[in-house]
Amino acid sequence: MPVPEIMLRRNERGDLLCYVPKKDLEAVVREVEFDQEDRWGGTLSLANGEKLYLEPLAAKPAIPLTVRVRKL
Amino acid sequence: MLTQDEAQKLIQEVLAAYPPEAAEDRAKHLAVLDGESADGGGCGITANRKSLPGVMTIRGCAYAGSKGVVWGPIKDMIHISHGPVGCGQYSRAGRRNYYVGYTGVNTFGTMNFTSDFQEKDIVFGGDKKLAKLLDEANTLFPLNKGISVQSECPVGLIGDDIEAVAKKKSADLAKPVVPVRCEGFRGVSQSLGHHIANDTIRDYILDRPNAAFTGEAGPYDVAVIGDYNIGGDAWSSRILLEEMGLNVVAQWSGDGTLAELERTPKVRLNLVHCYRSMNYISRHMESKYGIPWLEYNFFGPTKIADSLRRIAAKFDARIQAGAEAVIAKYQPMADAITERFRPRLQGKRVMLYVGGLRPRHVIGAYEDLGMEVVGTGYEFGHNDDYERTQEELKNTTLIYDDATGYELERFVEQVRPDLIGSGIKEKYVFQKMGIPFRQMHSWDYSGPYHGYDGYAIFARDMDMTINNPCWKMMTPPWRQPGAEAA
Repeated sequence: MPVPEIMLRRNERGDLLCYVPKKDLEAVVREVEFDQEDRWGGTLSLANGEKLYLEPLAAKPAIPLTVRVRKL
Repeated sequence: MLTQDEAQKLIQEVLAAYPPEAAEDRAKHLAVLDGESADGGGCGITANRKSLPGVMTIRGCAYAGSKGVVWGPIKDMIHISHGPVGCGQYSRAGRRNYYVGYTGVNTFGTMNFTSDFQEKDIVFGGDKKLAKLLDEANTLFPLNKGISVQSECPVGLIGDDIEAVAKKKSADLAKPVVPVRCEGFRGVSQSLGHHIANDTIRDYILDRPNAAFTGEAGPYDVAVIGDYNIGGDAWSSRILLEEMGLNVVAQWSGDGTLAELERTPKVRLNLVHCYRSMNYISRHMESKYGIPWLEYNFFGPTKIADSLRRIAAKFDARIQAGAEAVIAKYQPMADAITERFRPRLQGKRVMLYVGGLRPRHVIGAYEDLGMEVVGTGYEFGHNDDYERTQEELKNTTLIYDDATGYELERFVEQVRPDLIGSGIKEKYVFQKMGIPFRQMHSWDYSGPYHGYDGYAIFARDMDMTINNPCWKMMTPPWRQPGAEAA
């Protein structure tokens, strides 16, 4: 399975945006499964219906962030 | 006003002319949107797909996106059209990216450099010729700051190694020589050319060893990204930013220089006008150098004021006060223009079909003049463009992605707008249909249209096109005696 690299950033409204360079896809991240100070990541639900899995990080990351994710 | 049902019916009518397979494909590129249906899910349009063989598309190629749009306007570099002579010659100086300088001495914007491939270059490879050409160009024009090699189709087809030549020559000449793999056949439209060009700027300019700007960044340093200075657009934008207290250190790439590109990783904020062609480098600078970027819109006083305030919000109170002062200074001038032209343009309906940022950015300027946009579409937009477009739409609007010649003509015949804004290839078709037309790629050899000064010109141009007496004097073919009623 391909492991896409994504870039996470915030737009002006403060929404988390996910950008997949390979597909030139930019979508709002509707939900992050684990959104705690000491655990961040898990399943990212995108506005276009796609779901990506990010291995949970040990701390809340600094945005912008470039990470590799798995497609669910 | 177009209603949802009418628009849907129109789309069905247009699709009926296609064979079933083509109709199924084209259906995904056509839609009707109104302001309320925003969901951020891509608004159901399929974009950035290969055009169907056999339809008339008005898209360009990757070379057009790289040489014509992104690299071409960088004025103190030589951009070599590497391959047969035509690609460079027929696109030479056509985009009106204005610049200051002595052409042929320290700037090279309107000149055409080409390796002029002949049969022997295809058979034996063109690398030797390229190496010779680079030396010659550098000897004849010693004030160039660098050279980019813009590949045309054959270079990729015969498998030349332009990277090796560029690397060697870059060392020989002690200047950046940038191999750009923008062969026309890559990708589905000019959009991939933008992306490739952005990537080469990243790899060969920003990441070039010992080239980085070593000075300190000022607190108000910004870069204008994705303004190609068509008819002087970047200049009429830049003065507003400078007047509010910002320090514009780089223009990408209209009237831009190599030094400005190298300077950019040290700015505080990147201001992105054309999102489509330069979001890639903005994202790169955000992740690598931590420079935030902000999309803005300098078409029409409403959007300008909104953009100036949003830009100022990223800085301190001094800049915010500066922005208010700029708005206060220019608003009366803009109001006077609106007052003068709005009665002549009120309620006129516009259809747009352009590329890049304009299908959504100019909507605000038309609305300032009391006009309404009833249809809009991108030649080479992606889904994120359509999402951004949706936010701009107020009334029911026909959306067409990569519209074919047939579709556009049918839509126009049925909708009968008062003005069409598109490119030169569409211009005469619609003028012969008796419909006023403005080129919205090159501003019909007018401009600038950005900023408050640009709004004055924009309003005047729209008025003189729509209210031109010539439309009353001409009789289109279908109204001539003996012709069947249209």
